Amino acid sequence: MAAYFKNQLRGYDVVLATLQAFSKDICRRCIGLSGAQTKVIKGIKKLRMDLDKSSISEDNKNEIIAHIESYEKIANSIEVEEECECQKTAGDCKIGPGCFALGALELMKEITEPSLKTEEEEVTKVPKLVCEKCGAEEPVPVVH
Amino acid sequence: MLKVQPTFTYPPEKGCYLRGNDYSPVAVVVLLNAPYGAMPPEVQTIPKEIENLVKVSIETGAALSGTLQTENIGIEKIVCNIVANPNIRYLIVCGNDVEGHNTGTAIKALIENGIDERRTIIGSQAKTPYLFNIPLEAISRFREQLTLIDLIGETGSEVIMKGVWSCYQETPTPFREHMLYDPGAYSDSAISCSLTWKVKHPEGVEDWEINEILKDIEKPEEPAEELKKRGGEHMEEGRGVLTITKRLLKITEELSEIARLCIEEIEGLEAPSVKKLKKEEGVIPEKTRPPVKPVAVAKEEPETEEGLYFVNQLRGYSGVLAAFEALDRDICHNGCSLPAMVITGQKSLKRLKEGISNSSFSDGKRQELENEVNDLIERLESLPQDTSQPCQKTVGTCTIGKGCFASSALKLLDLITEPAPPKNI
Repeated sequence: MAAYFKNQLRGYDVVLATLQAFSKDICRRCIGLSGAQTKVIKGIKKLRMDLDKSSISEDNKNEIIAHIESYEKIANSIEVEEECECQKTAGDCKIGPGCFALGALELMKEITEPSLKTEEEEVTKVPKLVCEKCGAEEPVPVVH
Repeated sequence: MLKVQPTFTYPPEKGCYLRGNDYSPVAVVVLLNAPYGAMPPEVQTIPKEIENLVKVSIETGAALSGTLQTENIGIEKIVCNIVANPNIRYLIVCGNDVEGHNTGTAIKALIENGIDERRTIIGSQAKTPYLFNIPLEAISRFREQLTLIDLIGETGSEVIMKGVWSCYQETPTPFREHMLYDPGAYSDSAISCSLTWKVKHPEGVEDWEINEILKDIEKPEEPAEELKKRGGEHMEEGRGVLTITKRLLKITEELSEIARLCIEEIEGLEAPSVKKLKKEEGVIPEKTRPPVKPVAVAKEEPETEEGLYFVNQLRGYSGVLAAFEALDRDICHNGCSLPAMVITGQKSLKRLKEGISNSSFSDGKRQELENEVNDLIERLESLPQDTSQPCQKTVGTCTIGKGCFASSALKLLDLITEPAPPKNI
């Protein structure tokens, strides 16, 4: 279960580093970077919400939360100017139709496994026998 | 028949509308099914047929008549403007529904069904029909005060004129399935409200965020700590002051510009070309370059295509390098993909360096670019280059799927498509 969250965090680590690098350039006053920053912040927030709902162990949870919190700080600290406009429209960005900030965000799409749903299903679908007296659980034995 | 005065601030919200007779019982909404707002300013115009519908409605006697495009902020503005005038008892919604937004069905659903506890219009087919920025009282008043005349899909001005005219008749007048007449002002006093702008971009709100947003909305005042956490709202120490200062500076610039124009007009002077030039020097650069500016942003823009090519590449590499360095701190450090990409990057940067050396730049410019390339090469050299290490997917530590962070980080350079590389590259 933790693999989903760990992979997402790996992705955000790279994306945040890249966005920080672009924020040192003209992207600092660009709506593209501002939008990417907002999306990352939202994504991290969603990750935390999913983590709260998940059934992974507390130790793992705490470790992941620590990462999430540090990434939240980094994401919020990306320096974007208060009044942004697309730097292509402003005439400063001349790389073509592409956008570095949005391109950096696309790195998250490299993560295709495992999906959160699949893992949740795996957890909930495991059949278990429950002892009527003590409530202890054990897996259903496989009959060959 | 009782008529009342609207609020002092009526109509409280700005927008794309005309104001007619304040005592008229009807307002007209023309759905704006056009790419307005998403187009460059030079082609940003409202189609004439829509503009015409707005005009004829006012000329026929509507209190307000305007266009509507969005199913959230647009509707919120209409609500604020209508509840500020109790004389308005009918809302005619006409024109073709807005593609992608389904705003017509949203405003119809609002009047018919209202909103749910998540401030979402019940039964709306729109994608983001959220009303986060107006009080609930205004929404319920809007629904009580108005009768909807549904002319969605109707674009004929004569039909709309007939509808407007029917609304202010003293005796019941048949119009389609309605019997229309002016019932006088709504029995309760006007509501004065305007958008709180607590949610500036409702179109970007995702379903899972709504509960969080609702909590924020219910708070009477947002503590500074909360604002600090928000991405879009930079209220870090000193940042708020900086914002205000910037805005004040902008206002000062605009006022001085107005004062200059007034003086010119009074003196009866025609602005000579020299003055124009001075004006450009004095005003425009200050707007594009704010006074408090980070050092790193201040980059000299290259004049030639050749220069632009190298600068763009270096911009791209700064992002790629940052990504590589982040990956190096992770499992990719022990893998084979990151070293392979580092080597590819090194080769490409060396070629770039040669291109700069053979370029026609001035010595100063060449030196500046070479320094930047050398810095990037140096950073690349500190990254792993041993491609004999095992692939981390094979080892089982990389479980992200088929994708690869290192190779896709290098592909950031593919985003640069302009200008074409110089001949010496």
